[in-house]
Amino acid sequence: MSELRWNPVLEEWVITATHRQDRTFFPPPEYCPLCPTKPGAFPTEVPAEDYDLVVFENKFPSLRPNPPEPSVEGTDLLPVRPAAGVCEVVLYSSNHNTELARMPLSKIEKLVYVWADRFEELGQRPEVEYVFLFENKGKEIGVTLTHPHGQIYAYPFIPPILQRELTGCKKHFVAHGECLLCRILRDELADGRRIVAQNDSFVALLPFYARYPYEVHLFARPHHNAITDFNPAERRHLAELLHTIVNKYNNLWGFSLPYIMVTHQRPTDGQDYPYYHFHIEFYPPYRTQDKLKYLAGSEAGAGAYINDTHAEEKAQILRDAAPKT
Amino acid sequence: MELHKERVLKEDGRYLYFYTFSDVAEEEPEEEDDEPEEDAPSGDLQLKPHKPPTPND
Repeated sequence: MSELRWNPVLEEWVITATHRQDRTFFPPPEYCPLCPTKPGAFPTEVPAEDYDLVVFENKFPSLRPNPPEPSVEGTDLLPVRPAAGVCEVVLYSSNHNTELARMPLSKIEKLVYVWADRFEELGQRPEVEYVFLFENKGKEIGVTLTHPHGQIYAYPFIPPILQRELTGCKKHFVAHGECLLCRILRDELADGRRIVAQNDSFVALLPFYARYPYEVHLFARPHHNAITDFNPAERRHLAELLHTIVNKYNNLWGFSLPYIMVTHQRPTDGQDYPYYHFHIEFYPPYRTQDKLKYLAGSEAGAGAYINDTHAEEKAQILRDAAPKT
Repeated sequence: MELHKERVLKEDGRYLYFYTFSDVAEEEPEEEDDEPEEDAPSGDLQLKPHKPPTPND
């Protein structure tokens, strides 16, 4: 069913979750499992006629609090572990036909508070080393339920991309005595060409090293490690900039732009990470209005991304997209 | 803004959390329309029906 298999070549865990093959796949709207349960209708995941924000454990989890024993025996070379952890679904709204860009600012602010609450609660679980908040939006990304929602994976290990970021940030901190992302943000603000939008607490930019044409990163101005570190004003500012970016995306070509949105913050393994800096990353898969950026040979097989565009040019286009910044 | 949550144990053993909020500074109404392609987002343009492109190089 579900287990962690170690890849000693890449030094990373692979999660097998064979039961997910049977998960709900594009049900008709009247049978959406994420809508409220209507009187007399089929029971959905939410036993209420309406709701504001709801979080629940995924029915088809890759990681679970009481995982079964692995289906195979591991070896010294190829260890295997139970897939312990938690997978949750975050419902943004009871309205089936909405999305972050169409929600009022106060709703996105509430979502930030829910993210912080889930990070704190899940991060306290002894088996959880990393709480990963994310949203997959759009069929092009592989979404199988169109109701507006995000997800949370509470991993029993630090995922490889986060581990690489931690290693890079620690190396810079030890060599230079400063946070790497604080330095990048300071330099980007001084340069200005890749800035998309900003407010008192956050800056949205296309990084110098963007892998996707419209990849936007939201950097916190204060050096915070995790979403729980932000005060109410900073949470409001995060909601404002999220609202701005997802609306710019939709107004880029006049259709609801798919994206992957991820939060990068400190692990929850009990160690200190003073050199790490909270940020959010968006990866829209479109490279033009009608062409997708695929992860093909170089990206999937070698890990070397090829971006057909320059971040400076795309940042200007996003600045000009409504709401203009 | 103050967060409140109610934890519910579902019949199959999974947990569900209802979140509600008090002291919300400015509570704007959520857009209620059921046809997103006919409504404008917060920016200037109107969203159009969109069909994902086919693979390309």
